[in-house]
Amino acid sequence: MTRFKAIAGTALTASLAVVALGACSSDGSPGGSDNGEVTSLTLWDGFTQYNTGSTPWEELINACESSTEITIERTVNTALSDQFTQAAASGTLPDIVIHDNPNVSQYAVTGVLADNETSGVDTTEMAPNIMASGVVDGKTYGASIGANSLALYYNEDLFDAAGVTPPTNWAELKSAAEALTDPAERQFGLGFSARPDQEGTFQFLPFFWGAGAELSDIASPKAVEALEFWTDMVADGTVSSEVATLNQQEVRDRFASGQFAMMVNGTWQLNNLDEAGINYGVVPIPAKDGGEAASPLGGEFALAVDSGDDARITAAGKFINCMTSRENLGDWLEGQTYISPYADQAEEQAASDERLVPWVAAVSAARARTEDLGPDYQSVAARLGEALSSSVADITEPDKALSDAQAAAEE
Amino acid sequence: MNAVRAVGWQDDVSRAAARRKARRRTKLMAFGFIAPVVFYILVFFVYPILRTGQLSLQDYNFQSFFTGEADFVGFANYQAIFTDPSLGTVVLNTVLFTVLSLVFQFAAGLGLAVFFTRKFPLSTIFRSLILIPWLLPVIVSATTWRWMLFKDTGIINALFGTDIGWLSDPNWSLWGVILANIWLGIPFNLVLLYGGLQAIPQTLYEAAALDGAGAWRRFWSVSWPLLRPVTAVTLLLGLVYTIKAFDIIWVMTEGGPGNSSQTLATWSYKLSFEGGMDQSLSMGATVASILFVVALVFGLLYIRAQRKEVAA
Repeated sequence: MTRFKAIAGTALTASLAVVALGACSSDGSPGGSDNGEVTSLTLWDGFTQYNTGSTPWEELINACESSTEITIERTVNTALSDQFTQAAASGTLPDIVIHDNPNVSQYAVTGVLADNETSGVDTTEMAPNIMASGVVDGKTYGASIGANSLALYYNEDLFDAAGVTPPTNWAELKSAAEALTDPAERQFGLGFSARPDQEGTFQFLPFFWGAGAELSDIASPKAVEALEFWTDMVADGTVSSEVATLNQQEVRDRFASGQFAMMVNGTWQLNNLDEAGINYGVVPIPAKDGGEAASPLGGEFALAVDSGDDARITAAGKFINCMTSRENLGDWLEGQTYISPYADQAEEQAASDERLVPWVAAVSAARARTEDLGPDYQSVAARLGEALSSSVADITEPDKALSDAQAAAEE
Repeated sequence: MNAVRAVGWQDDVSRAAARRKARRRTKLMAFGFIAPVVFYILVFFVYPILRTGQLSLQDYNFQSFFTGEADFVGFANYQAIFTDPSLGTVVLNTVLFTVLSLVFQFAAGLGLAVFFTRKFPLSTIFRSLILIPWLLPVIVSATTWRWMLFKDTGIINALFGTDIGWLSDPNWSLWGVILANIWLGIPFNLVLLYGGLQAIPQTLYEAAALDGAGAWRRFWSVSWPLLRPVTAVTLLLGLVYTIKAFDIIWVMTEGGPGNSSQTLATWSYKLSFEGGMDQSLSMGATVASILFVVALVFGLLYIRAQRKEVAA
């Protein structure tokens, strides 16, 4: 009996040690090779909504799996940026990763990505303003899988009822919003997202750039003017104070239910709004004194990770080229209502789908967020986001909030 | 004569040796049994704590994730945190959040536990239903509370006829998350306190009733004193869970607007993962270490109180 206990105890400890050591060993980068040729790669993306088996994204991957004869092991990550950064620390990075375009330069400077010369990704025919997000220190990284941008949606029924026409400058935008605000009905003239995170800064940039401000100095008088345009409308009730916490989806919900007469939102809302059955129109976001405000470019990049294995990097490049070829992108762009990174394909999109006409124009005039600041964009954007959120929530005055943010960004 | 005594002495020696051998074998077996647990605690508890402490003394920034290098900076991070203007607000928010959550969760849990001691039809079903906040994933509860607390479209404002920006008004955001957290913690308190109440013998209540004690007096003089050990456990566990509550706040308000609903836990996350190239796992680790020390202090106080009670 005692001997049995001794054996059992030691066996238990030994097996646990073995299991632990096995779990501790680094997974490395999985993926297989066959006679030196790469036959499988890992791909990470954040498209949690495309996980049912027959979505446009999955079909894009499947199409390229058959044409390149490379099997893809796909992992969907909800917090992709966090997961990717942590994976870098633990050495378990994928071969291909899909990142939001403003994040590309930040990763490129750490050396974790393979540039296009190394991987063989060809983006020579893609629009330069869209590819600007992928240019760091003269080298280009990855390829765009489509772009989107922001515009001004308006409720046609409410506009007709109030006899208002779509605005072409800030003064008109303000008066249109005021005409359509009805506190008794809990109706607000305009809605946007003023969250301190990427959603809010993304929404604020058309107004920021539309006032003539630049990201190199977020405390300039023009920047203050842009922020005051927002805070004044919140203060007088034209815009709901709730925008300090609303994300773009929630703004869309309120527009679709008629609570917001106008909203700032992007191409990806088109299909949802069509389903909601609301009569909407789209115009470019006006700049302060007329004309179109430059809107920020949204959309993701497919990037090859520098795994140290040249064969895998080249295979990743080949797969990315397949994914971002005109033919393969077609169905994906349609399902996602993204605009093609190829100017000619974008024109075709505008010709075949009337809804996309204002968007193709918006994207061709749009600016990449990282074109001025490169890898420093995200930290400046974080400060800008805090400033706009606390101003909209009436915690600090716009000029003080922005000057504090600029000081912090310069540290 | 001598030979007989010599043999006896030899027997004693060999018996002592045999006893020592047996004791050593028992000791080894004991180690064998606790080794898995010790190993588990070392790997999953001690190592992360030590690593967090190590991180707080380094400069582990965005680049470090990729290069694996982080300079040693001594107490510079602690200095930065203690001179940060947000620290006061964050600490105050954490204290308010924890204390108010605990007080109201406990009171509601206790009230419900007393209510359920009386068996009425469907009481078991209701008691199980009240467990739902505990069983739902926090993301689900947090999102639902977020919808309920919207200023213009939320049900709370509609029911009470108020126009409060529970999530978007810096004066109200902390109360919004406290409200949701109280709801989350009630089942935990209910379960523990109900168990504690069940352990009190009915005869004590009967005796008190015979002596003329009313319901309130019976609670105060019989239930409450005998619940003291369970109360201590419940409050301590509640404190440890609440002080590090993260997802409920993050999903509802992300600590905002401004820092109005930021607690040490959410601040730690924000410093570690937000801010582009400014993100610093070391700063987050510093805040996390402070949080750990606070929880540890209360844990030790509890153990000391337990020891005193056992000794008494």
